[in-house]
Amino acid sequence: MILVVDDEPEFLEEVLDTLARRGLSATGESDPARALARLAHEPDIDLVLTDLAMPGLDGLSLMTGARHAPGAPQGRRFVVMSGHAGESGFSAARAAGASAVIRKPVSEDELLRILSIAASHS
Amino acid sequence: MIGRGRLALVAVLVLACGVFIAATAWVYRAQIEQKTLLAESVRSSGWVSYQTQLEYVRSMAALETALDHPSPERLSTLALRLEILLSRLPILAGSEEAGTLVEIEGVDRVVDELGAAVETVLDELSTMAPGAPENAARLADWRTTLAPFAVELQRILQEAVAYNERVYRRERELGKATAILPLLSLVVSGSILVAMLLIQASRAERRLDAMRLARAEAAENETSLTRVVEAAPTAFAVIDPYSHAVTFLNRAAGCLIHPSPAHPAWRDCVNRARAAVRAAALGESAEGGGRETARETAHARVTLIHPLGGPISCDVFESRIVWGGREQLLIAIVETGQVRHDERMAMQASTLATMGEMAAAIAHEINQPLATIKMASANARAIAEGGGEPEKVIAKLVRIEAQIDRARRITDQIRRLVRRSDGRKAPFPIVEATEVAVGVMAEHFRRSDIGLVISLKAAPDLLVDGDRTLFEQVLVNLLTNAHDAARKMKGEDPWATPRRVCVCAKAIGSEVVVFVRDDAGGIAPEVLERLFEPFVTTKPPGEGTGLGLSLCRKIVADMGGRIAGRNDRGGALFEIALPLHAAAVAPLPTALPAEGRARTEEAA
Repeated sequence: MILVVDDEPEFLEEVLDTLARRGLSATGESDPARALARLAHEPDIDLVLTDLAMPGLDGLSLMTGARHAPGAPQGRRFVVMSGHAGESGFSAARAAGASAVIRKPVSEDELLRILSIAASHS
Repeated sequence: MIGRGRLALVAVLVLACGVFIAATAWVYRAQIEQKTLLAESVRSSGWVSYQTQLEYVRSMAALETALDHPSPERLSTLALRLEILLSRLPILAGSEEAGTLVEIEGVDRVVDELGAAVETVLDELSTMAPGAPENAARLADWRTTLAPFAVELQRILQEAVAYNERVYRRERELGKATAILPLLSLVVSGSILVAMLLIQASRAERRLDAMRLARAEAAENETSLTRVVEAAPTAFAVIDPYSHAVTFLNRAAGCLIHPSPAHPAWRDCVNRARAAVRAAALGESAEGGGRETARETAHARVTLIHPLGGPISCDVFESRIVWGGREQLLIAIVETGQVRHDERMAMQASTLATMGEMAAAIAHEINQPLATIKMASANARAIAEGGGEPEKVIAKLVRIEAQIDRARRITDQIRRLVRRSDGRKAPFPIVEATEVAVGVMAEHFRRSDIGLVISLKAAPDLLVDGDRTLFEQVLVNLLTNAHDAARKMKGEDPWATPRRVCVCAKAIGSEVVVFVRDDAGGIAPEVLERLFEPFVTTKPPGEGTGLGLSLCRKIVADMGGRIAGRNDRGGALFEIALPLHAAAVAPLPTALPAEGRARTEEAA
């Protein structure tokens, strides 16, 4: 299952619509702190698509927190997306363990291509 | 005025001198007169004594003749002589002619006894019958009675002569050391005193004249010097060595920094120039083996800041001069063109960097709605192509429209923010401008999870004069700094205390004050003291240009206001005080809180 985390509810909804239309099982969360809690309790989430800049807890912190939580599934993949991060921001995301990065705005095909690549890494 | 005073002094001195001489002459004349009278008196006294003696001797001779042959003729001659002697006696005893004889002892007694004896003889003589036999015996009796007076009269005559002798001797002595000498010395000494006084007065007058002349010359020199300095192409500023207040600026200095000596930019320039000159002097004295170098002129190279924010590289020469009668410092400022050009290029580069930062921020703000639009349009298309319900497509289109509106709001705000200032001052509502600026930053704060509180306690129709866009830029700049500091402090720790930035506006008297307060730990002391200088930044290389606050200060100063930054309650507090628009001050008194609004808005 895919968990999409973005503080923009409209964007989140559109992404979930797209993924559902393509037959992918996906769930969304606009509060990153709640997303972190869900990740700890839902080991069946194997791919996380998260925004980078979010109030309260940014994408990198979410990823780091989820990856290092006790009992975290080993095969869980992370994809980080951002609308304004420069190369340095994306490099930091990769360094923190992101399988792929997405620059917003992104087309449907591009999104699915990157998600499939990230998933195939496992 | 001066000539008349001097004339009066001389007149008084001449008058005093005249009175002195007249008094001296008068005393001299009185003394001479007295002396003459005394001499007269002495001479007549001797003469009276002698006459009396002579008459006595003549009377005694007549008596002897009558005794020898007492004829009636001889007896009448005797009577005549005795009458004459009797008439002489009162003169001897106390007349004016015999003035000095009172000094001789027994004159009165002798005169009385002799008078009485002569009167007795005259009485007896009148009853005497000529040719009587007892006549001879009576005449002999009379001779016996009168003879003793010869000794007395002789004594009186001798004493009178001796007295005269003493008086004349004294007179002779006085003649040797003439009486005029002490008087003359009195006159001479008095004259010398007066002359000395006159000389002293005229000398003082001459000195005063010389001083006046010197002062006039000095004033003329100073006027010429002022004209030379005023016309010189080099910038000259005369400053007080203690207060550092600028007392004079020439035209070139006015053009270089600011024409008003009271302008705050001058204080900054003077401080920079003096510090640089002192540092250079210290360096030189260290090179010269620590010798104290007390030279007239010191020189240093320094970068001054133009009130419009531009750095000016200058050579500064400092020298001590006397200006307006006081010791002052003359600072000559020579602009070094090449360096200035380089620095301007650096500033331009910084401006470009600021624009780059701004462009990145714009890209971010626009990308958010664009991302949603892209996904929503793709979904709408898929629904439409798949023959889905039209309502679902319409919902997507409504969302797209909303996102486009959002993007347009952002571009509107940015357009306002970067709109080219036309440089004209116009009254604008400060509360609205503050709201717009805070609105521009609200999204930025929300994304970084930093609280942004706005509390506007000023009436919404309060106006200030200035360029609205530039003022909004000032607030955006302060908010950006507060945001960056808060984010840096928050760091990567997801559990860190939430940070908050407050923007507050208050009308205080004839000013409106806008506060921007954060709780991000405050500004380092070494930065705080140079906060508004260009190229001072706390941000890592490439992130901050260090120009933001210097531009803020320039903008606020142009609006006639002031900006200050300090640390307060664990954060930085910036205050922008702006004078209210002149027309707004009168109808809107300070009783604003009642009608003003206090609105708090959590932007996060």
